[in-house]
Amino acid sequence: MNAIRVHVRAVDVFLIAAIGLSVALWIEASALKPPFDIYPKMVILLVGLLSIICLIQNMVGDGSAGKLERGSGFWSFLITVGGIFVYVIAIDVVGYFSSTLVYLCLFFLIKRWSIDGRAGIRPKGIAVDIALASIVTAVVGLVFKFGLKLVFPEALFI
Amino acid sequence: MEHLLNGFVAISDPVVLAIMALATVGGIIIGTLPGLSSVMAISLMLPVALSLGPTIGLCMLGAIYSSALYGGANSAILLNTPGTPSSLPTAFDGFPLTKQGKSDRALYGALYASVFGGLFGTVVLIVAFEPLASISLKFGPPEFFWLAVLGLVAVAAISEGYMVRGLLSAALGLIISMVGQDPVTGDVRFTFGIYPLVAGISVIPGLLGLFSLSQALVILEQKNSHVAPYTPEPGVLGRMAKALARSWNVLLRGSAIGTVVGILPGAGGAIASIIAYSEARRIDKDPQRFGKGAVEGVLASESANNSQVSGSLVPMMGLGIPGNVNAAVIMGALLSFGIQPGLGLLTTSSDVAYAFMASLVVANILMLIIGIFMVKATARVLLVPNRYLGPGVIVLCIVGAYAAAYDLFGVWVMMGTGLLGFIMLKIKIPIGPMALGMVLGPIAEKGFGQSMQMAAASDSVLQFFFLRPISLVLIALCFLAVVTAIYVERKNRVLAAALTGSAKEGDK
Repeated sequence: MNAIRVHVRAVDVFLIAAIGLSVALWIEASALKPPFDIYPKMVILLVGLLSIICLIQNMVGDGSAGKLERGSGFWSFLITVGGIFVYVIAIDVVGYFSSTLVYLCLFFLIKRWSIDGRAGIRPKGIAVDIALASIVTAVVGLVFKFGLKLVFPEALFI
Repeated sequence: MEHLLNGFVAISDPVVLAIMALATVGGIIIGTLPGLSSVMAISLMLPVALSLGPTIGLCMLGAIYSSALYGGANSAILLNTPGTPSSLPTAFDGFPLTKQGKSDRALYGALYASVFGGLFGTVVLIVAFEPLASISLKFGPPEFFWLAVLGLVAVAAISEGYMVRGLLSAALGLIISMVGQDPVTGDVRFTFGIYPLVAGISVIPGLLGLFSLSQALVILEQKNSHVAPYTPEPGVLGRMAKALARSWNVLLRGSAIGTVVGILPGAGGAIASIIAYSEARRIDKDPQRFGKGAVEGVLASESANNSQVSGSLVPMMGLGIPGNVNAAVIMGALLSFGIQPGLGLLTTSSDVAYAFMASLVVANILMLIIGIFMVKATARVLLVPNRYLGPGVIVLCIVGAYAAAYDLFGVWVMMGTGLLGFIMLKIKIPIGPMALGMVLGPIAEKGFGQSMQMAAASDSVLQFFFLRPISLVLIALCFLAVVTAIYVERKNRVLAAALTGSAKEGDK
């Protein structure tokens, strides 16, 4: 018996999600008052149709357009994005200056370790990273706070 | 002429020139920083401008407006993250030039083109703003709808090899712009019960995520130690001046498009630069070069971008209708000074009006002088290692999004669009059209909604929507953009097949 192999690519998952989104939005748009529902429905229909056309193009094409560009790996990406999420929450809870300093120090050190390996973690390198993190934190914070009169969220620390 | 000369005399004071020079430096820096827009810079400086008085205050705001729009080109070229939405097409060819180690060429090209466009637009503003302002009065809601559609189709069509994906990206951008209140009725839709979405998805945090955060994630993912190589090119200043002389037609066309689009209220620099870019590509003998590092792409985009500065001031000064958000903020400053915009500006406060127009000429000359010195310093950003640049850009994105929205919801919006942009970059769906969809969506929807209301009162919806003379021209241009893109795509495919065939024969 011939086995049928189905290749599901990242772009296909994205397009199927776009079709799903257009269905959900169409249901939501059915509550809108005419004639002001024409434009939203037209756009939603366009998204659905273009997603289907893209899916068909991917199926009949050579597949090169759907190939995912590989980067440094899933775990590295997850750590980067997870770190940003924690940092944003920390700004609200702990404060801009302390959370940014800690975030930048940790990020610089993790990146130094991931690029240069254990050999890169030397006292001098750590000192450079901490100094740079402090400068970036202070410059960005002070420019926005005093130059552009931005009021940062009130938090436990500064 | 006498009024204009008096205007130049009024701003020749060293203090005024020093304030304008400082404003130019600040504008370039703010424009360069991803997420900080020209409108943000102008708004933040409004209190300072009001304390300086009408003449000096307006000169300062004009200098910030011009230089911040030019500054947006720097980050578009160096980091592929347009500092302002209007420098979006600059990244299409500017960043490939950077990757080829030719960032100097793109940066100087952008500077020269910005100054050329700025001066062109200002001359038009001075010479012919009264008759030009009357053209914009002929644009009604259907024309604005078709103008927005043209902007979207133009950008989607230039997503070479991925036209359908470009159109899908633009349509997704329109979906994002629909979240929140209907611009005509005020009804809330597509919020799925999330209360902060009632106010809609703010454009600045959205664009910040789409371009800056996604790019920072790409930078952090790369194994290269730097974004791109930076090799200073000796004599590039002179070479670019010669290249500019050769591309005079690109500059003139871009500046003319920018001025005309700038005059149309609500159209803005994003449409101007996109249309100028796609026209430059369409008319070029070898359109395939575009998107791969054609300096003409940078010249077209930047000349249009800066010529629309003065263009947007034409209806504001002549009729009291701001051409875009920046012009609206400057109009707010005029009103705060007790000056009524419109033709009254030329009768009761003509000294201020002509000093302001003269200051735009001076601002562009200052931008050229200061820009030449700042280009090298700006390009040094490439030498910052990725491990410092990536997290640094992320911090700027987060603080910038917070500053734009004034709450953490703006930061979450930025995160959402950033992740979406990153995924789209990975699966090769262009993000530029989505950004345009987000910016032009409200203009298109408002134009459509108002047209429907007006058409209901007229005899024929079809006639009102499609058969008005300006609408017909815009519809024809939409078709032209799509047909040209399909033709170019087919031509490319035939060429690629021919090249593959000859390579195979060579192997045998």
